[in-house]
Amino acid sequence: MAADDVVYIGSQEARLLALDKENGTLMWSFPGDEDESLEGIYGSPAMSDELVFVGGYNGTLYAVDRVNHVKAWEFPTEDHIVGSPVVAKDTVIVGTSAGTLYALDANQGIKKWQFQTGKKIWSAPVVYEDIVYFGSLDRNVYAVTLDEGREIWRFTTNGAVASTPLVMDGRVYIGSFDRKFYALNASTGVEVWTAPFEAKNWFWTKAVSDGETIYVGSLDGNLYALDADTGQPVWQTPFETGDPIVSAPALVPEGVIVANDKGDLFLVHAQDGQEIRSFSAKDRIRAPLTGSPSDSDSIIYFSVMDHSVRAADLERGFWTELWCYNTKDEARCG
Amino acid sequence: MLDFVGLIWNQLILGPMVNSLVFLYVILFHNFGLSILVFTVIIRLVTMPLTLKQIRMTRGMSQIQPLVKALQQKYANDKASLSRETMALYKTHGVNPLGCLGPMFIQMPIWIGLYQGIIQTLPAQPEKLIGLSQKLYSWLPFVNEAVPLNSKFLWLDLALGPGEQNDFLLPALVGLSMWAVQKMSTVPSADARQAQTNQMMLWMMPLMLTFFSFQLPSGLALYWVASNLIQMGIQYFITGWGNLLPSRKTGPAPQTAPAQPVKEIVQDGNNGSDGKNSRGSNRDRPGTARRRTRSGRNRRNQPR
Repeated sequence: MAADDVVYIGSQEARLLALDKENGTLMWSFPGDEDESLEGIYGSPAMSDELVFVGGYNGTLYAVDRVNHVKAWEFPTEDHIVGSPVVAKDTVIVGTSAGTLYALDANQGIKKWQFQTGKKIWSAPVVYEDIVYFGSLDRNVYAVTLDEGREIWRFTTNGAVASTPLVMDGRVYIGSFDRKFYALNASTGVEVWTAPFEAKNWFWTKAVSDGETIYVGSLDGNLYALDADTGQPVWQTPFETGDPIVSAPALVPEGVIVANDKGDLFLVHAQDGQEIRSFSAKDRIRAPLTGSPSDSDSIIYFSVMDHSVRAADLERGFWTELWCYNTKDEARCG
Repeated sequence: MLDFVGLIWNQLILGPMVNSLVFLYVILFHNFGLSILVFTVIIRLVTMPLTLKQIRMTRGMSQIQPLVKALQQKYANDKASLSRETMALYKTHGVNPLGCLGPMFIQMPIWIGLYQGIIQTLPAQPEKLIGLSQKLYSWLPFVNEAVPLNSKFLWLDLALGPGEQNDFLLPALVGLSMWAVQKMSTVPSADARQAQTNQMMLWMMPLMLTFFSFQLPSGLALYWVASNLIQMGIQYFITGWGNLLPSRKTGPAPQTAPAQPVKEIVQDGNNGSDGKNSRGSNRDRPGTARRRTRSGRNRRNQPR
């Protein structure tokens, strides 16, 4: 998560790091040595104006003050937190592996409501027009009200739903372990496309879109470009990365950047799916690729399993590594 | 090379095992415990010929112990002759010491595969679920749709080790059933060193498995218990309760049997598997008769 001049990221050492966006210098980290261990951070942090929220694998959601970097509050849940939290209208929402979706007062950490599903929630919720959309491993995609957590609709797929929905233009786009990618009416939960798109393996990541085309990776190793209105493939053939796609792709002005589980990154033409250039991070990339919030430049931030966080500029299709921070040694990469 | 071995392992052992477990899970009411139990029965049926061979070999070995003992006494100072004559004795009686180890070696990849299969089929962490996606066959869509699997069975979470859930019963059952298997299959040996080894194995294997079952997923311990119970059943039908019940006389001829030269024993038609060797069961008598016939045939073929 990049905001203002800071990149917030959860490290493999289970620490929330705030890095200087320009040079990758560590500004602060959480927890401090005297605090408890988060046991792991799977999701991306979320932010309000004053706080950063991060869910720990220890089952606790933490709010950390962005100015003085101390814990503002914590909310223990009954099971692991895997999906990212989301903030909307002074409410922070997060799912747990107990299948519970919690909505908390963002400033005080007091529970507003909770919604129970049948299995683990690893999907990050998305808020769109006061409705919370999320998936559960109980095979359902849910839409619940933001103010009181009342179910509006649920859509049942034939497989677990671990991916985070993409919500835009009144539609919810989401993939499932049944290898299908669905477009649902955000108000009713009814399928929009005549048939869901089918890949050769599960959908794990969130899709991204430029408004007309949906770009989504599958664990079959392919990046698919689908027409947002019809679900038909836009490219003649999907772009094959050769290994499962676990990280959400990112859009940059030059095209789509996608990473596979082997650590290869590919810059692909958004129009025809042809490879522009490829790069190797030399280790697995499992966190989402993060573009600049303004989308006006070509800088991406990503986390690699070799304990590094990196920033790279893809301007004009060339790979320029801007900085690299080693989270294990807490120093710039050697 | 390692990549190639890994590929072969995944394609031939792990992949079929994981898909079989999930397939059984789907058809057995989404119950992973039942899936493991039925899987165990299938594995034991597939390896039944080897198991039977092992039991018969072990029994055959025990029955010629007096002859081995006699040879050891006769060639106490001539190791080369002892070795040659012992091998000839094994050949004559159609036994092979290595034949006893075959099923154990066959089971090793199954144990390792099942251990990996359970870990990968019941992943606790999200990243391990990604690994499972690469193991499931795409042409079995309902297998993919069954994920994630419910790991609860009776009082157990099959994905967790008994130590993680304060369960002492399952490891105890593993140790007890393994001890019973060892006790049933071990036959008293005329050789003091062999007897000592048997005694050590009787306790070492159960203790080792008990220790491992504390650390490893409960699903594997469930497999061990089921597998041991089946082994006990097979063993019972072939040899009876063996040494498990103290009231029954088992094993080969008493060690106090007079040591005679091998040739004399063979010529007498007493190969050590006569009534003295009976385990209180008549099931082994046809086998004894066959061996006598073989002994007779060999006697005729002996060079003069």
